[in-house]
Amino acid sequence: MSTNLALPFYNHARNHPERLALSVNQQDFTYGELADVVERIAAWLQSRPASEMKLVGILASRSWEAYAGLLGACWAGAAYVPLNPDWPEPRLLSILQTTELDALIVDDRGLKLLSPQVLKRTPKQILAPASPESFLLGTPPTSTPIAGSGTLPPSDRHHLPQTLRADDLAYIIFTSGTTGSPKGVMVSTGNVSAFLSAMSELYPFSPQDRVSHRHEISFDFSVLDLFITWFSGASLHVIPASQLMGPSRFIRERQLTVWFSVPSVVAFMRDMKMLMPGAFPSLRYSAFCGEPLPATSVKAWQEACTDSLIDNIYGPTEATVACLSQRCSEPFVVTPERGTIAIGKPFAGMDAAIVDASLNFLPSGEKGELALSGSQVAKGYFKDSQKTAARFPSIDKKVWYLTGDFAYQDSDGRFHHLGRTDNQVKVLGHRIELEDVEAHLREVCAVDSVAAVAWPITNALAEGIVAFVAGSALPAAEIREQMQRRVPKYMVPTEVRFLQRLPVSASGKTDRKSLTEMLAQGSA
Amino acid sequence: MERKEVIRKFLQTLLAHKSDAQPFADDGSLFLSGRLQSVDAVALAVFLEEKFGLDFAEMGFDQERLDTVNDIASLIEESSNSRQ
Repeated sequence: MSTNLALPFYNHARNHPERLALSVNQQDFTYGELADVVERIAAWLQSRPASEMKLVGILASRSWEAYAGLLGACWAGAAYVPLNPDWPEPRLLSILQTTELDALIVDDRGLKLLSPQVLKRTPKQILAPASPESFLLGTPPTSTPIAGSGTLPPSDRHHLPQTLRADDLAYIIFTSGTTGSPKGVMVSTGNVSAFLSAMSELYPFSPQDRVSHRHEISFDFSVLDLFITWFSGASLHVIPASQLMGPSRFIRERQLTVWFSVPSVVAFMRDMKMLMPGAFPSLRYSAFCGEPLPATSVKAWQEACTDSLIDNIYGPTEATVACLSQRCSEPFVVTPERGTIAIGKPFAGMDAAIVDASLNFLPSGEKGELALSGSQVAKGYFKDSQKTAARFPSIDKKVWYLTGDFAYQDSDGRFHHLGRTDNQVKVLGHRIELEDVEAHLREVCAVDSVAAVAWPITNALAEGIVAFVAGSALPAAEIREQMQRRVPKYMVPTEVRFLQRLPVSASGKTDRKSLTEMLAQGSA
Repeated sequence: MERKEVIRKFLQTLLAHKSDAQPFADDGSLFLSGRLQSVDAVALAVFLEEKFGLDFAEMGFDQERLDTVNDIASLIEESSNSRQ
């Protein structure tokens, strides 16, 4: 059977074209309306042979063009590569250069980013909006100001989504890399199908569901919102960017039934006193992913939506969004060392194990690195066979992904997450390698003595990055400004502190632990 | 202290935490321009609730309506009018 991710969407559009599929920026699209544009985008992509149409960039955010473009790429049998318009230009250029895209779809924001320098690295085939009305009514967008831009062919309702095999690529999502350049994780359509079918075991998603969409498409958590919605024939409700931190009104007005977010959002909403008892009676299912989930947050969320099931789901991008889950019902299964909810047991089709540094499996109770194997383990890193071989080793004739997460399994078979074996941190759910921040800091400050730590940490959740610099004459404001031009916003240090010398450990490496202690004592 | 002055002072402390000592006009964008971030938005919300009794649970937190000193002042005005 074809694993094309647009196939269930196509089927719902054919059987129930009148149902709501997407609500974004106060515009509603039924399955029929959305499929009409998606199918034309796919036909436009398929004007070239499949061998020449493998990777389609989506330079768009929270717009109908972003979702239609992404579905169009799937429909045509290509993999999509989300490009976040918030990225600074050097990051965008670096990813465009690495991926050598075959086509690019942009929305109004993406269109503004197509500087002469960016256009040198984009593919020739670009689709840009003329105006939403003309796009929807089927008039080709004629006023696009960019050379080589495409026009959509007329609708052909007999044009089916391309047949795909499980091994075919669904998307490439870029995450922070330790060297200062992002690394692309290649996820197959089979990986995503396995993930969605496992999620459907946790909750019976139905066409009546109204699903939240909070995170950018460049963050793999979005794969859950988007595709579980269109697999189930439900509707997707995109939270406006300006309401991301406090969406209480949005949840109530839209009568959302399904909520997906990083746990930080719960902490923010609680601080803003939005989680009043019974505040969100419409919610039936909530899943949190991307960060440790504090037990206190679950209690607060449960009070606000008493009718909602709550799951803590865990997984790295390399194992397709999430592959372990723990239901949060009283009494909570807590990781006592951290006061956070356990990450639970693996999904059907997935194995989890704890390994030591020599890749020996460890018995329950012993702490080590969490390794994952099974149908959701990704194909590896794009154009980086060395890193793929290092992180996806074969153990006992099976491929395992080494997560870098420090964990143990308890006597009930549940896994508990304790932190990292390396310097990866999560800030508001965004995955950041501290070495990535440091590589850029070194270039900006033109000194070697730099360090970055996650700070402050409240209830196991990091809120930002603090940079330490020794020997640079640049003022803090200038350092932050230059960092803003190089890395995504969440990687820009919220504070820069200057030291005479950075503390080093016995092995001669920067001692991040003592820097964090300095911050805790307020002495830095 | 005048209402806008109280707001200005608080925003100054938020910016100072980021080593941002640049001045800002009453109609100068703070969130949409990227000078302040989400964590600051929460701090601002808590401050406005405590100081001016704004109820974000009811109205939702919309950064577009809190982007400048003037925006914040009108939101407080609106909210106190609707309570009367």
